[in-house]
Amino acid sequence: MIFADAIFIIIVLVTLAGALMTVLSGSIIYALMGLVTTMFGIAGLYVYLNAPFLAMMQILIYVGAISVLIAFAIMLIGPLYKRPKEWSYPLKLIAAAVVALFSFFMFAKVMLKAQWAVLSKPFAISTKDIGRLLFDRLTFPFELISLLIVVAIIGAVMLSLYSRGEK
Amino acid sequence: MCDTIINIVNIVGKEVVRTVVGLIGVFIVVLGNAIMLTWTERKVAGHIQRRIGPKEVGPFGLLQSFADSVKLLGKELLTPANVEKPLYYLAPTLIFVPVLVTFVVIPFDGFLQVKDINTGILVILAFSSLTVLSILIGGWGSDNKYSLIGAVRSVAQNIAYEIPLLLSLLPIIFMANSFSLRDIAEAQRGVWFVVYQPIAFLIFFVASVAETNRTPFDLPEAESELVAGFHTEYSGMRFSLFFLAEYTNMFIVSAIAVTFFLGGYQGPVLPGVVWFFIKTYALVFVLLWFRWTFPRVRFDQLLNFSWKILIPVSFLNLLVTGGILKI
Amino acid sequence: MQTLQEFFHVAVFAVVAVIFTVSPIVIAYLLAPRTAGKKTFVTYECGIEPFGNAWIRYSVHYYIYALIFIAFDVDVLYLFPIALSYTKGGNAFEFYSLIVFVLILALAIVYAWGKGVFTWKRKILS
Repeated sequence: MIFADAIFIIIVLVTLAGALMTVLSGSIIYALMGLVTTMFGIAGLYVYLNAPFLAMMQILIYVGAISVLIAFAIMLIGPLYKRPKEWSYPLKLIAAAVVALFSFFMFAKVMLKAQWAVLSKPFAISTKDIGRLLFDRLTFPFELISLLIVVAIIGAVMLSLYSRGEK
Repeated sequence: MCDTIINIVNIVGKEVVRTVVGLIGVFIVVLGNAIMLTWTERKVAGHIQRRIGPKEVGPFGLLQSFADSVKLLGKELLTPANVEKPLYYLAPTLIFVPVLVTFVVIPFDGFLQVKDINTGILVILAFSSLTVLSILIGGWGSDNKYSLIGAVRSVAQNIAYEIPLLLSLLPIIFMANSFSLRDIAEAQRGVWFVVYQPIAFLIFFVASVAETNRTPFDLPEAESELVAGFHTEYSGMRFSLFFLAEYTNMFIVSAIAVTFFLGGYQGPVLPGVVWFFIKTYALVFVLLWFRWTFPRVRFDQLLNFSWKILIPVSFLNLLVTGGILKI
Repeated sequence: MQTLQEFFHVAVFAVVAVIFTVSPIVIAYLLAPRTAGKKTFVTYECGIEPFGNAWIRYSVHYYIYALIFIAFDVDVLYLFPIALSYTKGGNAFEFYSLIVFVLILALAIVYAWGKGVFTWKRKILS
């Protein structure tokens, strides 16, 4: 299946290009654009893995919501439109290299250690199955998600109100 | 081996033909819709204000939009000196991607649909988040205060009204048990869903007016305070791309409302496509009517109307629907 | 395979959308006249010279709204598969778990409302 391989490679290249743009661009706005590109790439990977629901939710949440949050955070900070490149400082460069190498080796070790099972038939769990699972077997975690979201909102509102100097 | 290759070529060939035919059809709809709507909007505006509206070019001014489009094509492509060029150029392109992608899943008739995607409505919702991004980029790239204020307002408004939009579509999915737009249209063969879900329909319509930045929720482009909002610095062809996207978005939200609540292409006697367009343009007309009837709201009123009224009501509606389905 | 087939159309339409928006700009570039006035390329600001930077700081209000929005967006993510496999009649257990989920979530709106997130204070006293 050369055709399928080509699609996969294109998707991965888009994802990587976005990631590189996020890290290397000097401007925080272009970094955001790079992040969005990466999210689209990941959504493409989900589509490739036959999980369209996850792909669409990836775009809906990350492109539609998280990037907007980051955008508002950028506007909150103020004039950061054109800033100098961060990694011109040698100390920062060394720190970044250490972190990158450490995580690379850790991931490499985990990935080499794991046993990758080969499925006999294509992965096919429909969105309907996910819904049934949430109702039948994962009811408690499902309710906990709601609680988690409420706690997150309360925390966010409290923090932002405190920063405004109110109680 | 040979068989599988022929098989793949067969499948791919079929899909390619489908896409090409679909693209041609969609372009006819998009351009025809824009040409018709610009004229209709001005004519409706004229008659509501007891004027005549355009009448010079062609009979009843029907050729006015053609004249306008030729004029726009001949306008100078002006790029202000201190804009952020990549962002400035990217915005009009990016706003058009969700517009066109949406048309893949809209069922104009039982078979007139580019492709019935299993997660159809999710594709529309996910890609429409690109609109927000494009508006932000346009505002950021323009290096203009009006653009930036317009963009921020537009994004805040879009995210505030996206939640009620999603929550008003959910009861329909509860009832139809499918994301596919064709399944949902087919499920309304007997009774339209608007009969079961009048509140959800109202919420959806209000939210979609806000999502398309139409009056009374047109603060992002409030002429009296922000000149033209996020596209203040765009002129000529780039401006007309934003314009085209706005008019197509009006058609799209009406088409989704028709598919989800008003029975889609179902109707007696006439063929499905005709019914689909009649219903859609009836809703578009209501959108035009709104513009010349309601004054603009204040910005905090706009945001809080969504959070304080629309979202609680749509949650209640969801619970009631869930309860009734169990009886 | 089916998913790829479906999203093939989405990808093609997205690419065509990009091409479609570039082509009229190219045509306009070829057709349109060009000027070189003194003030032609200045950004618009009510007819005066642009005053200061366009990039200003925005209120924290917007940020809080975006935070609440994300939370609700995530919850809708879980409601979608639920909606898809919600059965009609019988099995009232599904309804109860839906009620609990939504009611817990409603607490968030109640809290934000009570804390006054939705009231905008007057900054300029008249």
